Amino acid sequence: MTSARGRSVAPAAEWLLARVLPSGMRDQLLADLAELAPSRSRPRVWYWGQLLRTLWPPTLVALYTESTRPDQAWPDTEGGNAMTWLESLVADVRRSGRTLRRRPAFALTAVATLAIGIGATTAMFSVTWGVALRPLPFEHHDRLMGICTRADVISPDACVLSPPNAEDLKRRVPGIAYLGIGRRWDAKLRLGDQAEIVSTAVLTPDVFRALGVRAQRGRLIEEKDLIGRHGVVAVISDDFWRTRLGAQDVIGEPLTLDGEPVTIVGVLPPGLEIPWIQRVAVWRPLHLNPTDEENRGWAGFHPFALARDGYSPQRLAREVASAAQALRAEHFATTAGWDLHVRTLSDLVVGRSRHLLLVFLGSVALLLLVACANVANLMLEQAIARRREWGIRTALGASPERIVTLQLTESFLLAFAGALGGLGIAVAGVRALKRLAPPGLPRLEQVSVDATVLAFATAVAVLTAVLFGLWPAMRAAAVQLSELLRSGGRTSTAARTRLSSTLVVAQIAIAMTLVAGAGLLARSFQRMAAWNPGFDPARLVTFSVSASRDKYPDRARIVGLWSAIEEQVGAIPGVQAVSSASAGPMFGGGDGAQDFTVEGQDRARPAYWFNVGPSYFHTLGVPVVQGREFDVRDAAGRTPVAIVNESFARQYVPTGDAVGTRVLSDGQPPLTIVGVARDVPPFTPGAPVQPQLWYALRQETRGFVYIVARYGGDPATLAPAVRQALRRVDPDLQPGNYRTIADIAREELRRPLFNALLLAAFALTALALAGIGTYALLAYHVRRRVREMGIRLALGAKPADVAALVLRDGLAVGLPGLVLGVVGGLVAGRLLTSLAPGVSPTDPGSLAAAALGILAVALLACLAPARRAAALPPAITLQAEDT
Amino acid sequence: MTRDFLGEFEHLVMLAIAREGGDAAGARIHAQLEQVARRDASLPAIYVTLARLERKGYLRSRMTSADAGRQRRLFSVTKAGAAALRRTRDALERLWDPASGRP
Repeated sequence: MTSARGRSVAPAAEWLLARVLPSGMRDQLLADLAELAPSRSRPRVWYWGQLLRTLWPPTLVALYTESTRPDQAWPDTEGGNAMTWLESLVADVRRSGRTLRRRPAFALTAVATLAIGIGATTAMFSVTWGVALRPLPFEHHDRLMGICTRADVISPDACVLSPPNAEDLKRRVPGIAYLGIGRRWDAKLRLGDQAEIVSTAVLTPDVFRALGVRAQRGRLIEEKDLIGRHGVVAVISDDFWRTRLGAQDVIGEPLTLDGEPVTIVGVLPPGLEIPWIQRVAVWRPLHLNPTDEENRGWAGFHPFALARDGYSPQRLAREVASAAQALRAEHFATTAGWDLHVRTLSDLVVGRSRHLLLVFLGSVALLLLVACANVANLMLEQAIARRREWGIRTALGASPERIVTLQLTESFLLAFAGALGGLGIAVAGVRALKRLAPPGLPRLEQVSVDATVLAFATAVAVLTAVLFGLWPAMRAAAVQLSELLRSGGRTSTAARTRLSSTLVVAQIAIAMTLVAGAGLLARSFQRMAAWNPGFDPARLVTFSVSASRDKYPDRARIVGLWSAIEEQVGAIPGVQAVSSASAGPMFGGGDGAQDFTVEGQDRARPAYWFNVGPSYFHTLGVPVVQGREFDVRDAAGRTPVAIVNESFARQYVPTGDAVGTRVLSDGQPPLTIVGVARDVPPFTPGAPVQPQLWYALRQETRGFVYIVARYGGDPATLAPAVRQALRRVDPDLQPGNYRTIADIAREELRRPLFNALLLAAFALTALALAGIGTYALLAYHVRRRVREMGIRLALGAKPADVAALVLRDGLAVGLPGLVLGVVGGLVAGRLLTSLAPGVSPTDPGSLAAAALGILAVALLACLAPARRAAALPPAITLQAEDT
Repeated sequence: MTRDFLGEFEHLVMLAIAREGGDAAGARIHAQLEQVARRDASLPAIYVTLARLERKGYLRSRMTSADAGRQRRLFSVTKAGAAALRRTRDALERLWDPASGRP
């Protein structure tokens, strides 16, 4: 109280200071402040300033550090000052720190174990949060939806829509504010003298509107730009603008795409990544009339819808459902399973990654539990060793709550030290995951250890401290000194042993579950790596070529171009066969499925369709089991022909003779089947072969194809000859995506390999920790039963008998753990079904291998204690006191 | 007891106490720093330094009852503290003196 009238100049500030200041300095500081304040020009402001300077963390820490030092000059009980809670906490933390420093082996082991568990969990959470859980970086992200076409042949993972359907939905569904469609459509860009294939996309103006994108410069695509062919305007990405155009003022400047000049009308904002259509340099208006009925069945575009304010996904889904009903009746009555589904864009973007990442997050949480169990056992052991100390404290007046607080402070200190170490592991782990992760994980580049992740790590640290610290703390509090004195130090440790054993059983079960899961992924990867398509993928080279519109404006010229290319490439020494295709096994975009009706049947059936040139199957090495390949007879103006695969023939032409059968498709002349090709097993093991139909490229031509060539030598040496061959045909031609099919398959394997390795890493770590836990438990058993073993030996038991006792103890935890682990493994199998194609969830091979692994580790853990027990001299054992 | 040199703020605080003729309370030390050294110091920072200096053996403190029976802690410089002050002053003077020997 400071002023002359006896009232404080700043009562609230004084009240706060009284609660914050350490007791040893509190009264003095307050008295000095009271003395100094009145002489200030603005006493209250000055007083509050002193409070703020006291609360400045470095100052506060220094105050408490000085006042709680053991050699502090000002005793804190002076004048009966009660410790503030903060002071008490600091003192407890210092005491715990001293205690832990006196037991460095225990402290380091505990901290290291926790660091591994917390670090791995934090790293996995960081990736899961960044990729799967964080909201999409678009305005109104919660109202962004995809309206996806469903049909028997369309993959459930795909979300696609046809342009006429999109137009109809916009008109018929009141809940849609904007609905745009878009897709990738690579084109050849000419900049100066350089020609190259760039990633471009076509879309309708509503795509940018739905996503809330605004141009950084100029404008975006508008309705007036949709003129039914590749529009004459384009919008470019910020990255393209900076790296290729020097960030100059390019609005109104021309670009040459596929031989056509387009005018740049806008630049997109930096960092924009549109789902499904990433890393696109140039965006152009949709090049076809969206209302053209010919495209009704072409579900080849990604939809981007923004629901109106107030519309939940369910409400929009209901409106879309009734529009879908009308559309089905009008256009898709004969298409099996046709429907429209609404899903949030976030779900669609993250897709299967969410499931995958949550599986990994769950796995790593299990690893953390194993780590906590280890540390809990360590702490239990410490609690027993220090029970004399606890007994004395209790006798001296410490309440059970106080003992629990002291023990928990130690736990928290260990947990936070572990969390600090874990953070280091997490940062390194995230970096490694980003570098090693295969393509296909969306938004991975944006993953980082940010504030959310740090908050998560802190929460995990607190949770683990409670998890592994609470039981030992309560055990410590329950110790009574009188009981200690009575029993001469031999307290019952049965409860402790039971709990320890339970913890080890749990560890073994968890480790077994993780190992079984990793085994499943490994076997699935193995089956994928053993893909045998029926031909040699290493001998097949593919590359893409694009026919520019100005030079090849009509079908005849395009067909002439493909023929000339095939001729030139076929003439290269070593090339055994060459053909062209819109897509094939592992290469090409694939246009999805279309409905075909076999003449004489009333039901339309879906099939995947492709365009291929003459000798395509011969080039691949896939036999044509009935009829013939396409050849020069199958030219424009001749009878439209098709080749189908065995699955198509088997399912749709049950009479058995598909050759000669006619197939009808909406809006197209009937096709005559001239050949049936052998089924090529898909890359995904266990997946069925889909019905497929091939058009003759000479009849149904395209401006962008893949050339496929079978080469006898090293494919890398073919590349220069290919470039020369193309230049001979047309100096502007460039091969794109030059690869062998084996290369593509190897790329596809990256993801399953990564998944298998990551889960294996978690599993092996858990196994190691479980092994250490088992070893520690058995070592404790040996110490505890030293006397009993001595008596047995003295009574004539052989060392091997004593060792067998230890082994029996090991089996007593190993077997229950194994059994529980098998159950866990079966559950894991169910969760991993979608990630481990081609392997049964109850795959006995994986479970058996996992079980053997666990048994081996358990036996190894038993070895040292068993040997030690067998080597005990009886005299020593009899002298020993039970611990 | 250490034979270190004083830190910058420690030096100021010790001098402020010395100027009071020994037996200075926190408020007086603050006033010396503010008015003579023209140094705007916070009281908590002064107290942290006082505690540290006493731990090092450069200060001693005692409780005394002031007005209305309220006790005040008064600080005075010990012999070791005076020696540390002299040591630090001498070092500073040598460095300030351009004529003193070059290394």
